[in-house]
Amino acid sequence: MTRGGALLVEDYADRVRLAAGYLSRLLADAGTRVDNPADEPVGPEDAAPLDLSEDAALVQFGSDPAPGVTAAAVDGGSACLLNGRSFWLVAYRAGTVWHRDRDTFATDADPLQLRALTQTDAKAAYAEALALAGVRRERELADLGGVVDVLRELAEWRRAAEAVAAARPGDLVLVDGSLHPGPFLPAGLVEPVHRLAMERGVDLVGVTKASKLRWGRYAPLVLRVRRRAEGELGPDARWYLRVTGPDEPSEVYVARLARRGAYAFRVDAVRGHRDPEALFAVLAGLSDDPAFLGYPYPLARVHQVVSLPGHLLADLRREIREAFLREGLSEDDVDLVMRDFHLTLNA
Amino acid sequence: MPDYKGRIFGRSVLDVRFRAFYGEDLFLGELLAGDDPERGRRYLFRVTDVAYGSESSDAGWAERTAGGLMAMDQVGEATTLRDFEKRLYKVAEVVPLGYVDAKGFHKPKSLPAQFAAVSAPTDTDLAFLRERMGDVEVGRLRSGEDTIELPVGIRGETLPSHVGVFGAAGRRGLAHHPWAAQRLRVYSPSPRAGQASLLRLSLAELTVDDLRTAWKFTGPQSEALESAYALLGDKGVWLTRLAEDDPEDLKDAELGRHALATIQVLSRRAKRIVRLPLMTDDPSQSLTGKVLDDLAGGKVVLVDTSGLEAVEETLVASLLTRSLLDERALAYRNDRERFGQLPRTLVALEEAQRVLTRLDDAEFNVFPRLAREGRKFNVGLCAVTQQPKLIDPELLSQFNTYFVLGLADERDRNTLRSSSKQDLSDLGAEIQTLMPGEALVTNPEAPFALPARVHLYEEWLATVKPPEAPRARPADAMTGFYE
Repeated sequence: MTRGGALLVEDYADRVRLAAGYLSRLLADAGTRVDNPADEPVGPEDAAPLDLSEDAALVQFGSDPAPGVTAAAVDGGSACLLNGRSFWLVAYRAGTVWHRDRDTFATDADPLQLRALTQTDAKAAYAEALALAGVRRERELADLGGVVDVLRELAEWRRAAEAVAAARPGDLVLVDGSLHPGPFLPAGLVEPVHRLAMERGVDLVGVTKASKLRWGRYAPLVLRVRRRAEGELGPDARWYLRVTGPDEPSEVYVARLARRGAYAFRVDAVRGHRDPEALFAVLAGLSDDPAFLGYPYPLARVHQVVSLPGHLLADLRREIREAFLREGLSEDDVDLVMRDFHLTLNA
Repeated sequence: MPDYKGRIFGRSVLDVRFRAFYGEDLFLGELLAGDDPERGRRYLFRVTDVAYGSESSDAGWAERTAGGLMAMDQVGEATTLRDFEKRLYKVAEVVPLGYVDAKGFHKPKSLPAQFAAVSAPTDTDLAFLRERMGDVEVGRLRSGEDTIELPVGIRGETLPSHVGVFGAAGRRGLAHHPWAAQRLRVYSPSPRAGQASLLRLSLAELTVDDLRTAWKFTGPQSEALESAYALLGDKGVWLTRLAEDDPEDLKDAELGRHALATIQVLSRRAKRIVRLPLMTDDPSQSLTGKVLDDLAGGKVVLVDTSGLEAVEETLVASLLTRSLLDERALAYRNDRERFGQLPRTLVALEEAQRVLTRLDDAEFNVFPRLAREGRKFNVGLCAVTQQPKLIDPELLSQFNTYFVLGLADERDRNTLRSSSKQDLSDLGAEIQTLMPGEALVTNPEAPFALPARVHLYEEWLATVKPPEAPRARPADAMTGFYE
C-alpha cells in the first residue's frame, strides 16, 4: 500500500517464503562429508574432513544417576565493555562447580578480569598467556575482537586441567564447548589435558550448545541427525551418533541426552573410564533437571556462576564512565568513546 | 542454616519485602521482627503475601520448569529440581506495624535497615503489647499458625463504644459457665427445663417504633399505624383492636382515612403479635422491669429466642433494648448518682444486619439509636453478623472494636477495611483465610489489628475459677451490735 509514493506496509511474504524454501533444501542435503572447520574443529587442525555415512549407527542408552560420582563443570563468561575502535576494554572470568548426587557442593569462580587492550597490547597479551600456559604460539591474532575469547578460553582450559588433576578415577569433567578449541588455542594447550584425563581414569566431556558443524554441503549436522533420529527412533528416545572414526582418542558425537526436550548437542569425549554407552548414561543422569532438560545440569549451573549478566555490564559501564570523568575527560569525550551512535539512530 | 528467616530488600516505608529461605514456612498474618542495630530499633511486621522467587529473571522459568517435570513424568522418568534450596526461595510482602525502641512502640514512619535479618519476634519485642491488653480476655496472640503466650483482650470500659463480631461465631451455652448460677439470668418465651424464667412482655409496652423495627412498612402503612396507635386506645388496646376488630369496621370508624388493604396488612401483623405466647395484655405480668433490674444488678441476661421467628425475635429485642436505653437515659438526665452506680451494659445481637441496615432508621429503630447514643449512657451494642456489607457504613464507624473472623465475601471484607479503626487494607487475604477460632481484633487501644486465637470456650471454662462462696459469719460477729 502506498500513499504519495511512500510505502506504508511492505509486503515481504514472498521473500520470507523463498528464504524458508532455500533452508529446507539445505536440510534435505544428502551429502556425507563433515568438514573440519577452523572455528569449530572436530579434530586437530590438520585433520581431514570426515565421512559420515547416512546410516551411521544411532545408539540408544539408559540413564544412570551415578551415585557418588563427582562431575566438575567448567565455563567462562566474557564481554566487550567498550569498543573504542582502536582499543577494547574487555571483561572475562572462568569458574568451576562440583556436583554430586544432585547437589552442587562446591563453587569457585575467578575474580572478574578487566583488560584494556590496543591491537599491539592484545598481541602481547596473547603471547604472554600462551607462554604462561607453556605452549608455543602458532599463529597471530587477526583482530582485537578475538582476544576476549582467547583470554576466556585460556582461563577455562587452565581450570579444566586443574579439575582433571583433582578428579578421582571415574569422575567426570565437563567443559562448555568442544574439546578442540578454536584456531588461536594450539593443540599443545589441550592435548596434555586430554592425556591427563586418560591417565587418571577421568572422563572429559565437552558439550557445544550451538554447533556450526555441517553434514553434507550446508545442512546443520545436529539438526540433520536429530531429524533422522526422530524419524527412526521416535520422539521419546535418547540416542547418540558417533561422528568421528573409531581410532580418534578425542571423539565427537551428536547426542540427545533426555527423552523429552527439543535439544540435541555436539558432545566431545575423551573417555578415560567408561565405554560410550555408560558415559552417555551418566550424562543423561546429569541432564534431567526440569529447567534444562537434555543439558548436563552442572554446565548450566557453572554458566550461571560465570556469565556476565546485563545488569552487571551496565554497572561496569557506568563505573567506567565515572572513572573517565574523574580522569579529566569531558562528558562529550566520554560520549564519543563510549556511545555507539547506532543506538542513537535506533532509539 | 542461619537462625533468621530472611533478609529485607526494600521497598518503601509501608511496603517492605524480604527474601526467605525456600524451606521457611511463612504464613499470612505471621508476625515477624526485623533488626535495625544502627538505630537501636526492632521493627515489627505482618506477612500479607508470600510468593516464590527463583534464580531466573525470566518470567516464564517456573512455568517451563513445571512443564519439564510433567514431560519427564509422561515418559516415566520422574525427576526433581537439582539444588532446590539454591535456586528457589520465597519473597514475603510484609506491612510494617511499627518499631520498638528504648522509648516504646512507634508507628512506622521510616524504612527499616536494608538487608536486615528478619526473625520471629521475641518476648521483649512484644512486651509493649502486654501493657495494652484489656481485662476482657478473648484469646492469645496469634502469629500465622502459631500461638504466642500473650493474652489478647479489650478493656471492659470500652464496651459501650460498641463491638462488632463479623463472621460465623460459635454457639455455646452460657449455662455451663461456673458463675452461671450467681450471674446468669435466662428468659425464655416458652417453658423449658432448667432455670429459665418464662419471658412475658406486655402489649402495652410495644410501641409503633418496635413494630417498624421488626417489619418494613410502606409510607401509607406507617401512617395508618400511627393513626391506630393514636386512635384505637392506649396501653396496648390499639394492638388488640387491630388484631381482633374487623378491618372493615375499623375503616368505617377510626381509621376511615386509610385504605382498607392497608388496614388489613396492619391487622394481620397485629394478630401475629397478639397471638405470641410471650405477649400478655396484662401489664402487671411483664418481665421487662425484672430484666432491667437484673442488668442493673450486674447480671448477664440471656433471652432465649430460639423458638421465635425472625420478626418476633426483633420485636422482643427492640422492646427490651429500647426499655434499657430509656431507663439509662432517664437516670443520666435525672439521677446522676444512680446512673454512676449502674454497670456498663452491652446488648449483644445476632444477625445484626437485620436491624442495622440504615442509619436513617434511627428515627424509629432503637438499634441505630443505640449505636449513635449508647456510649453516653454506658450502653454498648455488640453486633454479630456474617454480612457486614449490609450494615450502614456510618453505623459501622460507630463501632470501636471489631472481632473479624473468616469472611469469604470480598464485599464484606471491603466494608470492614473501609470502616475499621485500624488499617486493614492489606489484610484481605488474611481475613479470607482465617480458620475457626482465629480472629483479628481492632480497637483504639491496640497498636495494630491484632491476630488472635480465640479461646475454645469449653477449654476456657475449665480455667475459670468458681466464684468465691460467701464466707460464714464469725460466731461473734453480731456481739454487741444491738447494744
